[in-house]
Amino acid sequence: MNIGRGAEGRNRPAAARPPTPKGSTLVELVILLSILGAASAAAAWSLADARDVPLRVAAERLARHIRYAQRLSMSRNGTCGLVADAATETYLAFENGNPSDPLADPWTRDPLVVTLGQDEFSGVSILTSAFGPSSPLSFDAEGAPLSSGTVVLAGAGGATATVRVVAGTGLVRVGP
Amino acid sequence: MIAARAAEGAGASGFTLVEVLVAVLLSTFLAAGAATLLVTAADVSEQATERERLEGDGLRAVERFRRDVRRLRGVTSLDVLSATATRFRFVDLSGATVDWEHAAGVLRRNDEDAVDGVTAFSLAYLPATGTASVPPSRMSRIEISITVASGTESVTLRATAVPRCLAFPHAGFGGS
Repeated sequence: MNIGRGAEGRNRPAAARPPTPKGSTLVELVILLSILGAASAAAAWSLADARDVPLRVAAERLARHIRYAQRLSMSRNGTCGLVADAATETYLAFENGNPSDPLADPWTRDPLVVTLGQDEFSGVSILTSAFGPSSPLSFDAEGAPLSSGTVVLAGAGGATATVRVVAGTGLVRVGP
Repeated sequence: MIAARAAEGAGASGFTLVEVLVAVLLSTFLAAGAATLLVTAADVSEQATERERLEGDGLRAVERFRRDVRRLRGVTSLDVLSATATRFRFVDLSGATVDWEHAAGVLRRNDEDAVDGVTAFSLAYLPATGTASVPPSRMSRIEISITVASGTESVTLRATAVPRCLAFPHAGFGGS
């Protein structure tokens, strides 16, 4: 009998206590895992678009580099622009009116040539480009593009991002 | 706690479901705190980027407007076709019509979008000195004020555009 343990200060009568062990049972563990599973499923759901982050970052950066070439073109009498080549997954911001003469990156002074599909842009590719080697995007001294068009990027998850250059004004827009 | 459990005998060792849940809850709070810090940092960075874009777009449009206005032909008063607080339409030195208009949150130049998200825009036609508006035929300068907004960020720019050539009778240029 358990009378001796009941007399040690337990509140409940010994007879009412079930004889099962006090550690976690399998059922309890399963319940816990289900709760954790539900919580992480909810978290994963809210992070579902995290896979497209490299795509969005690449599109924003391309737009920023286009604007940079545009701004320089306004102060250098219309000699800057950008080439985005879908065949090589590379874009290049150029100066001196020469589409193969890269601008220097304003921060690093490295040639402003970006190759997608590697490093932080793995999985991102140039789907279509209106500004290929045969038709570069050139800005005049007013910052207006000589030809308008879009560059479409594709991400690892199949999503796309479009960088659009508006004719006449050179407004650069980033959209889905 | 483990020691206490052990003292109760072999049948009471291990954690109960409630204890494990409390532990999970506590670590969730910790993780939530850390996540909040991360999200805040990311938001601040994104807002700064967005602000930079707004300033860039606004400045480019203002600069373009000033360059356009400088080229106002101004041979006859008919060279100013429309001059309101939200629209300035005129003939430039090359004989081309230039039309700046703000409508429905977009600033357009010759019906092509120049800036998105323009929440406020105004033009004031002023004499050489003073701040009281005058008819466009007697103006010497145009004060432009533009507010560009996106999300929580908002940028207001103000600038003065000065026509270079105003040959029609004009208070600021030796006319009557």
